[in-house]
Amino acid sequence: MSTLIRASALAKLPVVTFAGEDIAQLKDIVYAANGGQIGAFTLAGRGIFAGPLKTSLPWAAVVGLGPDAVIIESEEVLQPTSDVIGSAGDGATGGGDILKSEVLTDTGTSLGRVVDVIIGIGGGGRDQADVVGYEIEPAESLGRGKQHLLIPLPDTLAASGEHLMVPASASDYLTDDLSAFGTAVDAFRSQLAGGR
Amino acid sequence: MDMDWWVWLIIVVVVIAVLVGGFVAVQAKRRSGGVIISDRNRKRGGGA
Amino acid sequence: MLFSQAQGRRVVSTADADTVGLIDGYVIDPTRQQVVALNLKKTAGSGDVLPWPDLLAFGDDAVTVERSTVVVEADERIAELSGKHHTILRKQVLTTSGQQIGKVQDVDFDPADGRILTLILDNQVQVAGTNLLGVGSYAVVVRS
Repeated sequence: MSTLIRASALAKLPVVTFAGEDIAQLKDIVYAANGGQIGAFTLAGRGIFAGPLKTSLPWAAVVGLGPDAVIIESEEVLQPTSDVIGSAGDGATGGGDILKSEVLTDTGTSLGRVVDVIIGIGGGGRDQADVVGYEIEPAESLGRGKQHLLIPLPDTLAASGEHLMVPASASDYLTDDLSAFGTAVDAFRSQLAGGR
Repeated sequence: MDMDWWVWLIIVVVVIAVLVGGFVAVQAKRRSGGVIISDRNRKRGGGA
Repeated sequence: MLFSQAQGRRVVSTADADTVGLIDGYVIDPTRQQVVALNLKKTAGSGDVLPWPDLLAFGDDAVTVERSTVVVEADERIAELSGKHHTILRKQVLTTSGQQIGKVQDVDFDPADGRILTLILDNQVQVAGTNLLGVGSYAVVVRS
């Protein structure tokens, strides 16, 4: 089973080289619309006066990602941001930040708004990281109160900066418990696979 | 008709506080993270 | 031998039996996992660096050198490695899986050739010297 972490836990993690220098910290998580696979991280400089960097960190160059740091070999693995995320960074076409986006089922019900993203790391043979779920602030119509809920995602998903589409059956696997969420994702995905 | 010296002192302090507060807010915004969907790899039917 | 055990040890020249200084610190090349020089205090001249190849022996009571002139001023490489950013003691240790596992409390090295054998952390965790990757301003990085 892969390790599940919230995207917000990754933000601001220091990026440390083998030489022991903290050359940057994580800013945005960039993931692919198909498959949910994390492709790269954008970076900000260290220290309060630093702004966003022009270079990004491709996932392939990450040696290790843990609770205290992201380890890379050297500064040379960083790539220009434009090469890594294309036009997604400017939020103009389809891309953009999905936090606060509305989650819609394919039957047109709004489940709520995204407050965080759940990432699964490893577990799939080769070490990779996927977006496996959203944490949402539930829509009032759901009648589930104010407590944040977790939605499992299918392997493939459609998403834009505005709306995130999930199959209606995803709402059967809503949970508020991250430790049980891995099972919910697996159950949900195997149910989808079985229905195909 | 000169204003008291402390009036100017307060104005200067307030201006500095506003500038520092604004700077911190702008920096927090610039440095804060998000989750971005990359549309570069958006292909259909790639097989899951 | 531990860094802490050899701290303050005499460095004696065999030519005139004079003490040329006391061990005050260690310069490490993390990529080679080696002690490459000793920092000395109470030296006679302006130099305070003793490059490892100039040691005759690292004994239990004293370090011997051939003559006092082997104590030199730091060359560019040693100056870089001995800067504050590269000291290893009391620095946090990160594994390549991104986890902080403690702080370096002491280092065990081979007195025969200066090889770093073990990093000893403040929580008694020990890391083999061969896993050492780098020592930088932020952390000591070790292979997990």
